[in-house]
Amino acid sequence: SVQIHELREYFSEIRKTIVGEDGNSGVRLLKEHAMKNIKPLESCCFLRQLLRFYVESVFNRYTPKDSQIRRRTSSLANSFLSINRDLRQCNAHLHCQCDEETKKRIEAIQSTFEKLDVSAATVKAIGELDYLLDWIETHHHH
Amino acid sequence: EVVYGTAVPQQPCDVHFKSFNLENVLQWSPGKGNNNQTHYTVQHIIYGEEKDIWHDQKQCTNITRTWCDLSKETSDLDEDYYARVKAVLNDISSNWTESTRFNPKLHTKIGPPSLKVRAGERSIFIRLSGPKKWQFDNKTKAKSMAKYYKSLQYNVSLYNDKTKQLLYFQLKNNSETLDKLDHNTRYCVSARTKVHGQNSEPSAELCVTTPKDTSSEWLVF
Repeated sequence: SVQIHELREYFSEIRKTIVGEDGNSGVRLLKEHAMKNIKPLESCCFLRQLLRFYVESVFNRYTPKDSQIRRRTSSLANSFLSINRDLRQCNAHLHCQCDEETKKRIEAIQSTFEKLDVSAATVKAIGELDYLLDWIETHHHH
Repeated sequence: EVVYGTAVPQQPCDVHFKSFNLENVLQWSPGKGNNNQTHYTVQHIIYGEEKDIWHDQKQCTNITRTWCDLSKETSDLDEDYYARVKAVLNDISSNWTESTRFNPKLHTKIGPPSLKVRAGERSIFIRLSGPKKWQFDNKTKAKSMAKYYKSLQYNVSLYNDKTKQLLYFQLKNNSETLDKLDHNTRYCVSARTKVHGQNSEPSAELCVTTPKDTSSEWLVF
């Protein structure tokens, strides 16, 4: 339902501003090892948890002053909700319960996020959306 | 600014990466008032490296030019990078000037593909490849950028020199045969690479002419 290039377009309009606001280059939330080598059966659950993290922990707490950024981040949030609705169907067909390893990956991302001050954390998480979009494009061809 | 009677050089400005087919070159402009006695030193860091340790660049320490090839240092496409430059004059250093965050895979400018064209009976065979990714040395075979961009595709244009008609179409794989064309007609083909909605410059145009219609010559009246 949601096309990756749409998400890329939304994000490309605000990337420069948001990445420029991230003054903490020493911390990366979506670390390379957290996103790599996820077992195929786990990718559905991993993505669902990650999208839920973005909707509930990131977009919900992100309060940009700029109206265009506000519009674009809400478009991204709605798209993530839509993808998650699609993924809910995978409960019926596929195994979609996270195993321990996948839970740990998500928890590691959330704990790094919680260690940062809310405003810095939300800016950093949104600034790293390219990693998530690359991952979706590689694993899910939405 | 003067320190003990010796001028402190102005920090460099406009530090940015210029990238083409993943050849990543850092460029900057001298600070105001800096002359060609000024030297520059470059460092880089991987985004997210916790200890915030900037890496020196042997090949770009105390240099007078205003660019530094960091292709090798920034070749992991799963990472983002920052670089910074300072000016040095009479052993006195300016402040560092940092680049914005650089994502090689996203920020590189992608070149046109290589194009081969061959005419057949009322047809043209087109083969596209690349563009080739930058590589450290010539020992290993250069890889196509298509290997790194799943969504890479080609936009092809076909110009009929007789009717002056221009046809556009997209190719996902790298070869195609166009048939039901006109006899004895000159066709010119050009192609662009398209990734993430961005089009490259067009490739050089290649022209071929389809053979004459030999069947009509055998008609007997």
